[in-house]
Amino acid sequence: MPGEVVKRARYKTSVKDSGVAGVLKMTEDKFVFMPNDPTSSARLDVEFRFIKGHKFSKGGSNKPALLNLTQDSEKGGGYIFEFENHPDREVCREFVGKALAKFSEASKAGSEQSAVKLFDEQLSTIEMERRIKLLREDSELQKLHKQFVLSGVLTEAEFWATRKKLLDGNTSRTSKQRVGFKSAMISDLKPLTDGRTNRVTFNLTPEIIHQIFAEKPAVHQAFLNFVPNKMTEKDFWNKYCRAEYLHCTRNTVAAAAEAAEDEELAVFLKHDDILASEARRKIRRVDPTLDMEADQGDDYMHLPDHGIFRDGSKEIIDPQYEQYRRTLSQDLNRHAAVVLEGRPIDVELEDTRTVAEALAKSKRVEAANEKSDGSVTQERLERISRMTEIEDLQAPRDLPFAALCIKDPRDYFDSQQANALKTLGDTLAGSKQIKCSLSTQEAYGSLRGFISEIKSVGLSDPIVKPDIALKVLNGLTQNISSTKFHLGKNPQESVLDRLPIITKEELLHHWTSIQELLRHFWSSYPITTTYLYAKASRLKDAMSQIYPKLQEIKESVQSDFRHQVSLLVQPMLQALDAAFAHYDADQQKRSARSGERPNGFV
Amino acid sequence: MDFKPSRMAVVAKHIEAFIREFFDQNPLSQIGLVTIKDGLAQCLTDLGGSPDSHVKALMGKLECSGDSSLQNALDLVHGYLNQIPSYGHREVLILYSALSTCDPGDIMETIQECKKSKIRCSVIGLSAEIFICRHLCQETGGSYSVALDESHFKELLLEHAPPPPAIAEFAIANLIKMGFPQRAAEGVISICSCHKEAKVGGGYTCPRCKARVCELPTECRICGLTLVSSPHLARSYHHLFPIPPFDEVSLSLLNNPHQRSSRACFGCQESLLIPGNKPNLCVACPKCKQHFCLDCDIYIHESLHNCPGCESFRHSKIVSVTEE
Repeated sequence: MPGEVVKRARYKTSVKDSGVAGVLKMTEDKFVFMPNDPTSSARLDVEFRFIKGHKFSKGGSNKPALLNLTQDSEKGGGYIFEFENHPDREVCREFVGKALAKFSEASKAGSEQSAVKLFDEQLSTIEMERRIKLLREDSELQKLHKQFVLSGVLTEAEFWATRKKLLDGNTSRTSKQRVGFKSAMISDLKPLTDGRTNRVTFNLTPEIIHQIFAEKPAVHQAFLNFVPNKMTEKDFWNKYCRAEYLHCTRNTVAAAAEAAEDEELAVFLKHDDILASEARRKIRRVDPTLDMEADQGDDYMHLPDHGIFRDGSKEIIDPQYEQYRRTLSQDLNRHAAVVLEGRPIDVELEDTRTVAEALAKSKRVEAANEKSDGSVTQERLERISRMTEIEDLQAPRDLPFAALCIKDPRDYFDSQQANALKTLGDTLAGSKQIKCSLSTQEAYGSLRGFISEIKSVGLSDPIVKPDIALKVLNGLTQNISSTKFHLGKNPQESVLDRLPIITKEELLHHWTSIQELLRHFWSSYPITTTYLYAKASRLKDAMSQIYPKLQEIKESVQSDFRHQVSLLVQPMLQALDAAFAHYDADQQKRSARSGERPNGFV
Repeated sequence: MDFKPSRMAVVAKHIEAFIREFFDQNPLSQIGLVTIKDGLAQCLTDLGGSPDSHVKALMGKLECSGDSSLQNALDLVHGYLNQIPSYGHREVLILYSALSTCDPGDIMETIQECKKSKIRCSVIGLSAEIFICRHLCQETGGSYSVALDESHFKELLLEHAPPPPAIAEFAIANLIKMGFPQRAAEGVISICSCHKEAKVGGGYTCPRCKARVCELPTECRICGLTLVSSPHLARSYHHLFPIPPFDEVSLSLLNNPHQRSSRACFGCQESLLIPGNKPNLCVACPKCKQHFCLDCDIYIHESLHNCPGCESFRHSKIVSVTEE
């Protein structure tokens, strides 16, 4: 089949869309669409791996020639191209068909080798996009992916299983957290006054609006009712701020007057009826044994005592203006109650409308839950009643003690030493008698012997011969650690940099592939299922292929670097040898255990 | 007197000392750092056993802003610690400077979750005692203390370095596979699996898969084997087999002229008599009955973790094995 196909086409997001004109170019593993208009953003670069199927419209002279490349047959999502004429479309269709067939073959080959499929991969589009993005950004990852997944050594699932961290990203963890309400009372709006003019400015942020709606259900209800039917959002907040300003001035007479004129303003100035009814309902649910006399009229609105002493005398207000009075304690208590209840919604606070609706929805949900789930509320009430017990009045809660369990180390160490000596005794086959003790007599005698020997022979002068010393020193520095010696003190330079670039790249590439293979190899032990057995065999075959390549590199490199390269390659070969040895040992164990079985059953 | 130059600088400095001391006492353990900022908790470093990486991450990002949220922090930590196997000990140490907590939900539930997962939460406060912290520590079995000044803070922090006693029933004995790698020869060059660089000499080779690792203790990246060295294991033993506290020797015994061996401390050979031939205060090991001066007592119990008198005994049991 031809290597690539280039045709003019229009890219459409849906059938009815007019589409973006451009050029579609397809190669064996991916297709690229470039729009004619360079400023357009409808560029595409998709690999055929992610295309599951293709559909096409029926041939007919007046019907448009459409080709739809689908990603997932159930969820939809795909790319629709319209061609100028049908023969063009046919050529592309054939090409796509062949490319897809090739990919499905490769994936089928991989799945045949895994006799038991552990789980089906339901990839969401987000997941797939993230994978494509990662592959595009990291060319090394792409090389690994191509080398192993496409050749069937590893499945997609296995490849990405070790890279969960890359896929998850950092954002997913913190974004699941929600921020609680601030303890500070930001809903208590304080205006900025401009000394020169008569204007006062109120600053409202979505966070403040959220708190206002949560603390004052009447305002929330008013917003849902009035906006956008009766007034715009700006008017609504203007009225609200006017009400706040009147409260600030503590002029109840003026407040009453304005409320009488403006119906909507009255909503903000009067007491919150919804809040009052909620408070009454809560009081009814309280445990009947609790004395509520002190909290009579417990919406904190009716007790005359709840005023703040000013100038030595209490504020006496005309009863008709009573409902326009608001006290600090009311606000504080309401704010505290809201903060402690927690934050019901975690929607993005951009638009006031969304905030209001989300809050209303959550309240409805909560009310419905309360009615249906009686047991949960019962449990909660019990817990609350337990917590409200005053600590000083309770009996001391003595938790039971658990005794410290300190074992005698001699038991452990002595038994281990006995084991060690036993094995030592086995290896020595009891030929040598181990004498563990020396009497002082014997020790003194041998020491005296040494002293008299030295007295007669004397110490050699010099004690260490200089030429021998030099030989040893050279041997240690230049020969054994010759690489370090030649590298010198330059910390930037690494051994790999001194090799020619091709060799360096090859070595690194082999090293990363070996690491990948070994990681999967060791993780599949101990082998418990046929799937793991097949996987281990596959990996072993792949590793046996790399082995001779490493030998080749050793031989192909120039003689100056041969020593270094062989030193570098040595540990890689050792690692592979260890893996092979483990595999063979495991095979032997299995065949010894299972005995002779027909047809190579495992 | 508040902390100078700033609470953040003081806390960071002492955390660095704590991290090093912690890994000294518990070489096989892991630490993770979490910061609370603007009502959210973020993971600064993942659970790991290398002190340098933690200190570097800590010093690199020193900033604070906004409210603190105890619930978000506990939720985050709970998610991480739940992955630890049952033979591991789970602990959280919270250094709390705020006077309130801004939570999105019911913090009491979070505390109950931590209690169920056996996570021991301790708090060191920097400003004042807060009820919710006290409640948290009481429920989970941790310790709550408030630092008065910088030196007190350091003392409280370092108190958390040695491991707390664990309940024997929960810490069931498990066999864990561990590797004891050998140090590679000086002339060997290999590409290490942690940095992807070619390193000359040094390093350790995993005994199972022969991959190179740079430092111990660690987990082999290729085969997942825990790699330790025997001193690391020995340092962890000291907490399991502590030296019994020495008994004070009554002065009447010392006055006995027949007790000639107790004239010098067994550990440092310093005279146990103050000038004037009067006996000084000394202690004796309950097992080997040797006398030690007070300085040696402190040194043996805090640093050495081995009694010289007991160690210099012959193991009569072993002799019997070889004579068979």
